Amino acid sequence: MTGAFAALDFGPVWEMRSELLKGIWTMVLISVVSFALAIVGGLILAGMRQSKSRPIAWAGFLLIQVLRGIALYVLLLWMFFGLASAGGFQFEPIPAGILALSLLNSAYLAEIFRAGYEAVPPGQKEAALAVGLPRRTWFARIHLPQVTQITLPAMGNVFVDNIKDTSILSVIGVTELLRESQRWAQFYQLPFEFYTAAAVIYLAIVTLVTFGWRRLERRAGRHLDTTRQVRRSRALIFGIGARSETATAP
Amino acid sequence: MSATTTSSLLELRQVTKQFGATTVLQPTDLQVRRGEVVCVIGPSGSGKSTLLRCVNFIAPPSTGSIVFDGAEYTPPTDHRWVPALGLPEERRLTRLRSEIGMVFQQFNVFPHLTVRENVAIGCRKTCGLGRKEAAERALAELTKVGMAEKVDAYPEQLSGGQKQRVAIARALALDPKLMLFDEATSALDPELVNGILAIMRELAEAGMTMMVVTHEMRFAMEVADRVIFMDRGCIVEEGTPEQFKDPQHERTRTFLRSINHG
Amino acid sequence: MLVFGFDYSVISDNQDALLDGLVLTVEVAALGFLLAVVLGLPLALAGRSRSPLARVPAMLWIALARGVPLLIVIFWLYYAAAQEGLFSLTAFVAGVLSLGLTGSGYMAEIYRTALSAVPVGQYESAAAIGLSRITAFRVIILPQAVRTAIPPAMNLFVMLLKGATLLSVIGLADMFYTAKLVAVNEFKPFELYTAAAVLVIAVTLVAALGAGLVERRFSKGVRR
Repeated sequence: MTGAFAALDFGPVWEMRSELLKGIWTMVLISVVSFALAIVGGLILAGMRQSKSRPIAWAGFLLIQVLRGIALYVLLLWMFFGLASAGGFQFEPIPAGILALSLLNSAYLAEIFRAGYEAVPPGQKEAALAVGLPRRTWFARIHLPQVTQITLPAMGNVFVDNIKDTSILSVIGVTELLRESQRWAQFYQLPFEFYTAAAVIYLAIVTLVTFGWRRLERRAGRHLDTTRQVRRSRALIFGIGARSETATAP
Repeated sequence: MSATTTSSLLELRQVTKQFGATTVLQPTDLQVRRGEVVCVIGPSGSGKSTLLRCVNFIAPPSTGSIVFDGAEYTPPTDHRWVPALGLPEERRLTRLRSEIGMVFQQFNVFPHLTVRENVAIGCRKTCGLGRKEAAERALAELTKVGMAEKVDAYPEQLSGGQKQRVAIARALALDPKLMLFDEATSALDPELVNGILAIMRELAEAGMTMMVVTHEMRFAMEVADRVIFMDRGCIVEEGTPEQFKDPQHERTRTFLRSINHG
Repeated sequence: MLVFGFDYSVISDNQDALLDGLVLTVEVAALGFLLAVVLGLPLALAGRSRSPLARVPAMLWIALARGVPLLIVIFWLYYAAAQEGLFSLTAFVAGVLSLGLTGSGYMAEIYRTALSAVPVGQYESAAAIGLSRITAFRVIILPQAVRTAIPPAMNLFVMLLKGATLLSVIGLADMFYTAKLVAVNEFKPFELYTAAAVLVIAVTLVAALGAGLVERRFSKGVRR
């Protein structure tokens, strides 16, 4: 066993660092853009679910359920190979990846937004309206900051999962980190070294983002005391990280 | 008051408790005779509950020792690196706890077990009773506290007062030598308090040794053999209920005034 | 709606192969989930331990399992380890292992959250009636924690099920592998991928619905 490890050769990994760095850059770009789009999509879906019109609320519920049931890999294959052959429109790998990622994550975010929206105690609204604040002020200054603070941890989990999921885009040929590693692993015949390096890089990025996100959470919550109520709703959202809420019918 | 046996059942020797840097319990000495009812009163945060939790080592004291029924118990060693080393010591404390019943402010009944199982589980796991004997034992104890009809209910179907009755039956099922009551009526709706107090009173009259942390001054004055006033982690004053009608310390007087007017 | 002259015959012709593939996917996911459930509990307990000897390795494991993308774990177990002569696995075993190892980190977190959701009073009153720490954990704490853990655990299963679809990249003859083969041979990728996608979605939706039912059944007597 030790004999096997003695033959490890990380030299080529280091030589290919600029290629790997390019892969990392692509990964970061895709993660950030798709996450931003997912937030927009999540808000729309959450809005649909809260809608007073029943058909729209049901459509929102159904969409969220179905999107949560779709595997990213399946969606990518379907969009990239299936749709292309049927409809004739060929996606570029990166836009296809971004679209798929943001579509799927928007469903998770929608559930998180909804849970966060409902986790703020109703007394807050009553109190704000009772002291004569207009509804707009209540929403922007009272409600939104509390919702943000409650939802941030769960959003962080989605963001981390989003970063990890970019690796799946390698199957449609997006040259992100995994694709680069794969390429050079095959070229040098050194899968152990390159895949280990890729794993370490992912781990480092995920750890970094997690810590950064914690700082963000603390900043967002710096004036609000983390009462038991808030903590409980966090635990509620947490579960397996972000993707935990079992959706209930509107 | 059974003054026939002078030997004390419980003795606290210089017991202290720290949580991190804060001292919750200053060095405390206390003796409780067999059959004695001791009521502990004092403002919130004065260390009353901690005192009770030190007695059965649910919150092990930081220093000092406790003698219960002739055996001495000292704070367990902190096996930080290999916690398994603490198991023998833990076993001894487990035996101690099975001889001391405790009733909590928040009832702490087991929500996933029926009323009967709540009471029977202690008998089965600590006294080694079989499933059937334990169930019979549980039914007998539940009958005493007036919960015989609810044996198959789950705690969520019960009122607070009923939950507390179950908790009392659960503690009594182990045939304890000492009963600890930690504000047993504080979380109850006012109309349910008297039922629980009546059970406690009966228990006292039957000769049970009891330590009762309570805010019910009338109960303390009528049932207690001795009253202890605690403040800021110290026993400030102790004496018979008679003596507490005219307390020696200013702090005691202030406290009694505040609760009489509150 | 997209209507491209959907050719059902390709699907019905290859129905059996597709369904076999689906069964295989569910099988791998279920075994991986089982592994995660079994590994997760000791991991969670070690992670909560006061002893750094238990806590630090467990935390590292959890961070690793949650931080490394599944696809890399799959490649690592299937290609990298074999190249170094550590062990060589079939696609099936590599699939179960990678799902199980990744899942174990998530499962440990689920147990951890569920265990800390049990009120302190339960620990106290279990101790007060003379239960040893191990007995108290077994008969009082764990049964309550498991009930809280079930809904997120079912979600983890759904996640692993989706992850299992990735295994066709290492040649596991699952539904997508079959779909890909047939699609390439018959030039009908749209039909086959749609069919495969619909099947997987159906399974995950059933699993999600099942999660809801199981949750209701198990919450008997426990409503917090």
